[in-house]
Amino acid sequence: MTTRRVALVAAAALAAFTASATFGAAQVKAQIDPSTRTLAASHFRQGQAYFQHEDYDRAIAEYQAAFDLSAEPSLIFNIGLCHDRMNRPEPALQAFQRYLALAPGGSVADEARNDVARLTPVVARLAAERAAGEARRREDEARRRDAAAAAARRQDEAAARRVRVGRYIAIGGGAVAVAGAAMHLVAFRTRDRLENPESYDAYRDDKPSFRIQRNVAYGLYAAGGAAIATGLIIALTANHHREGPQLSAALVPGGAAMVVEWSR
Amino acid sequence: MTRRISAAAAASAVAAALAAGCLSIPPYQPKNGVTRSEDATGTRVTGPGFALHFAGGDGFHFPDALTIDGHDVMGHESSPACFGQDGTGVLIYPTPRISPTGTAPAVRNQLTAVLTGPAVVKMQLDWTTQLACSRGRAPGGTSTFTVFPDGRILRNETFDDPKPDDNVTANGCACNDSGKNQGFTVSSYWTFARAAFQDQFYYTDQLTLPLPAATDSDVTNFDPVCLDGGDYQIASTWITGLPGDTTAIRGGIAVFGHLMVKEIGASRLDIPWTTSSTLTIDHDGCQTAFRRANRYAHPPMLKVNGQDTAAASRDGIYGGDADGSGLHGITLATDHVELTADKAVPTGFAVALRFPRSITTVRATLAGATGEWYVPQRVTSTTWIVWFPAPLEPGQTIAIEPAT
Repeated sequence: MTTRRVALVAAAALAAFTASATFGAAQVKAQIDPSTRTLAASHFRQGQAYFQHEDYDRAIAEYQAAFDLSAEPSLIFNIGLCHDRMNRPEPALQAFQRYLALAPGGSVADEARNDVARLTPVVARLAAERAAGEARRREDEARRRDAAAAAARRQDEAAARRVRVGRYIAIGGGAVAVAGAAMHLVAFRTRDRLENPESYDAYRDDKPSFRIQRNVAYGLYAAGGAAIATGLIIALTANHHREGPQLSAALVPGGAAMVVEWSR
Repeated sequence: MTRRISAAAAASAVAAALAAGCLSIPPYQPKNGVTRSEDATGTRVTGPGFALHFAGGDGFHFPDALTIDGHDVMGHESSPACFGQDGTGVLIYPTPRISPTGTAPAVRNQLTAVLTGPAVVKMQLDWTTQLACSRGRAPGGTSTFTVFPDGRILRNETFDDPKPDDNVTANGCACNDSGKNQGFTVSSYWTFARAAFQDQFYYTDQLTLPLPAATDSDVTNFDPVCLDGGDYQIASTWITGLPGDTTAIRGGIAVFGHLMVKEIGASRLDIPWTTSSTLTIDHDGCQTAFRRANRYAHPPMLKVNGQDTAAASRDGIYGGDADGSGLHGITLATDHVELTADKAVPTGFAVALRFPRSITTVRATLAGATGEWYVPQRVTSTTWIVWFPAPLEPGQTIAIEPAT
């Protein structure tokens, strides 16, 4: 059947290039000069050759060139046929519809109508499938965006939690340091007594108390300072993916080292 | 916010570091103790209401000021003779005065704090001079000034001469013609400012005499004297004099001197010599000052764990330096010490104890005693001095032991 259809179209086209037949587009053809007609025929024949070798894209190009020179509607039919052979229903349908528009009573108009009837639901289905695919893609994109936003939110919440924890630790450290300062004041008062003792017995008795108070103050200072530093590190490293310094510590020969890096 | 926290943390660290520096343990410094301090003009030993200042500079580092309640009572002449008395020092008459303002050359002039308080401050001056009339003669000596918190200053002098056989003559050594034809005398002296005291002095606790005229000549045999400044008094007593030694007073234009004199002769300078004196500063009149001075001049025995112990003549401390070999302390067989007395030990006495082991602190107990009734002083890890401001009466027992 395919051979027949191409042959039919070929016959119509050849007739158009070789005689002043009375096709629907006779007025157009009448204006074509012989050299143009010859060139159009050449493109047509080349298109036919490609068609027979199933080289449809080149065939389409030749048919299109021939149509551009001759305005012969059957060439559009042939183009639709090529697209159809290459399983391109949408351009095929467009070509067949265009052929019917140009030559509603053409030699292959019935066949073109059959093809239009056959391809129309196919193209509709393809459009529906494409629309569905697009919808799915958009949904996937939205889902990915939501997931990324959720992940970022979770990360922000975790960072905020760490900042909060770091702040609590630092505040706790500050409270401990304040307790150290309070003990410091107590030690100062004891030291005042040591500087102006009532007696040596009082001095001797106050001395160990002072040592304890002083050492407790030092201990509280140290613990408070460590807590403040820890809180700071936790708080600062919580946001390290966005801003602020990144702190890292490592043991090195003979001690430890701390590195501060600014990420911006 | 991060920067604020960082700044706060840094500030806290700095504050903690500063605070740490302020939390050292202050040394024990009782209100009724004695301290020693250095300044640009010398060394000052300060007790409650008084201060004894030792001269710095190129002159001999003898005391050049004695301040009582803010008044300098030490005597200074505006232009003393080269062998005239001025301030505090020693004389090898008729050679130049050995004192902060004297012109005798200082070959050695080393002032050392042997004890630094708060119970006792003991300053030791090792000095050597050179006679202008014989460069080979370099007499010297050691002067110690032991200062107690109750205003007692015990002074001890030792003189020596490495070449006593290198003959010299007093006339040849005289730094001033007025000193010729009178022979050598050696003396140790205190001078007091006339302006700081009344025009009379106490010879005994009842008898007063006018201050001597400004003749610069000695009036002998005045062992104790007391000068009354109204709000304060000074009793001066020369304690130990060898046979032939004489105490004397000497009137100058602005000063009143109290000295111990050893007469040697015209052609020999034989001066191995030791003498001691005590100054007591009081505020209750010369009778009280005399009583204190007499008690210190002849201190009773102190029983240490039942053993009679005498106050060392060189520093007045029980268990102190008795022979110039240094303070060793009373050697104890056990940590526990009991002090008792058959006769009352005078107001304000110090005892040096050497424990059988190192101790970090001591505790003293006496029935009914409270407050600052004793002042300990660490000399070494085993040797401690304990000062008691109150007398120890017969029947009382002071127990001393290491405290934990």
